[in-house]
Amino acid sequence: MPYFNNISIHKRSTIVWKALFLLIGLIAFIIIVNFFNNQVKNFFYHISSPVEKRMWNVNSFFSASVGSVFQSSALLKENYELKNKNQQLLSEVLSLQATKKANDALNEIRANPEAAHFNLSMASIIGSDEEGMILINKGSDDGLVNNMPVINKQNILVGKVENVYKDFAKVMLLSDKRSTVNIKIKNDQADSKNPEVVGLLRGGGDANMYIDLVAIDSQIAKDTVIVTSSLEKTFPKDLLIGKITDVKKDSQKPFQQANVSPFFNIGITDFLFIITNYHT
Amino acid sequence: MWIRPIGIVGFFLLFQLLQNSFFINFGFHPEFVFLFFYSLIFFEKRNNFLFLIFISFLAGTLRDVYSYEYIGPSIIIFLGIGFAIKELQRFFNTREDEHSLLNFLLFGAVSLFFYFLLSAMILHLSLFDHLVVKDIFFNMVLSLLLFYVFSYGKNMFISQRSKQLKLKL
Repeated sequence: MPYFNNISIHKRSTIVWKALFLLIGLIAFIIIVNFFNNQVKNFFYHISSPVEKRMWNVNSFFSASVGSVFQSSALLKENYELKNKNQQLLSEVLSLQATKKANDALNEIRANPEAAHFNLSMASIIGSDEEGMILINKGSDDGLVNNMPVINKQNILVGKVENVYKDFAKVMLLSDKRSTVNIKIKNDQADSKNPEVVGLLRGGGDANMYIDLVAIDSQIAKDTVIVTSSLEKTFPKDLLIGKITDVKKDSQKPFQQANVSPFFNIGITDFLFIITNYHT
Repeated sequence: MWIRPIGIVGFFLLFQLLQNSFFINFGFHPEFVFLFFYSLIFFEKRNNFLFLIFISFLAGTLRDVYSYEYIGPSIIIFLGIGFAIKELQRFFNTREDEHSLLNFLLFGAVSLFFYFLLSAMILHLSLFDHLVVKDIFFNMVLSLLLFYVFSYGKNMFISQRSKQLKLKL
């Protein structure tokens, strides 16, 4: 080594001995200190902790602003990833909400004692192709056939299955102009003197329905509830339909009519139930 | 006579605390202890081995005390880097009182890289747990401050150089 070029042999050996002594001293120091590793570190942490704590508190104020300068690319990347994750989570939330809605509808109809003896197949409304017809996402593969009754979660009659495809089906609503249903006006106090009033519910198109062929001398009042009658072959009896909104009585005609407001609102309905064990 | 060593110990301790408690989450890892050690070595006389051993021992002990590893590896790393820097200065035949910024930055970047490498090997870390190039760059930017402090205030930390000509036999 060039350090030793101008040094005498005696001095050289002294330096070597000194270096050896220092090396042994260093190794001894490392060994001894590591025996008391915890105590040594604890001592240093103890004496420096007041200062460190203050520095740590100040750090959280500065690092947010200054650190962002150095982390701008990382922040941009993180922002992009978080936005994507947010969209993904939003999509999952919507999916979970739809599932929850379906479960709630199923629970609601199962809790209805009148629907206890029905075999039900739940379907979602996909769209409305024509006035008075809606498309659902169940078809022949799910056991659907024509003329199966369709109800909502409150056990209210909506319509019947009209056309069945492999995975889809069209449902004719009660408001469809081609729809006719034998109904009765609900009267809990019906007896031999005041027999139940029966009639025919016809669809008027555009979510309208009206009762026809009610005997002129029958007493029907506004806000009276109408249900399916036992004369009806397509639908089970006593299924709720709607209520009378106004009565049209003309003494010159043999029958009276009444407009009906349906209980179901197809615009806010997501799930329907097809009664699979009751069809003609 | 004792002011200088006490001052050096104080500054090492301060830099260690700054590194551990203040400069966290700033987007890079400032190595103040290493930069101070390197500056002391770079500007110190070449044959002052005792001083090199003293500050290697001091810097290494502090680094290990405030890390989760046992005490000792950093002392050896600093000793090795200290001797290597002195050899580099001798190899490039730089005058003892000549301290160019280019040499300072070049030797500093290389020694910092080896410091990261050796630390990672001893602490069983991945060298690329943090972006080494980015850290070296920002640390060298910080070291510029130290360079000018040492250049203009060298009497504070560095042994007094005698301007008297020495007769070599």
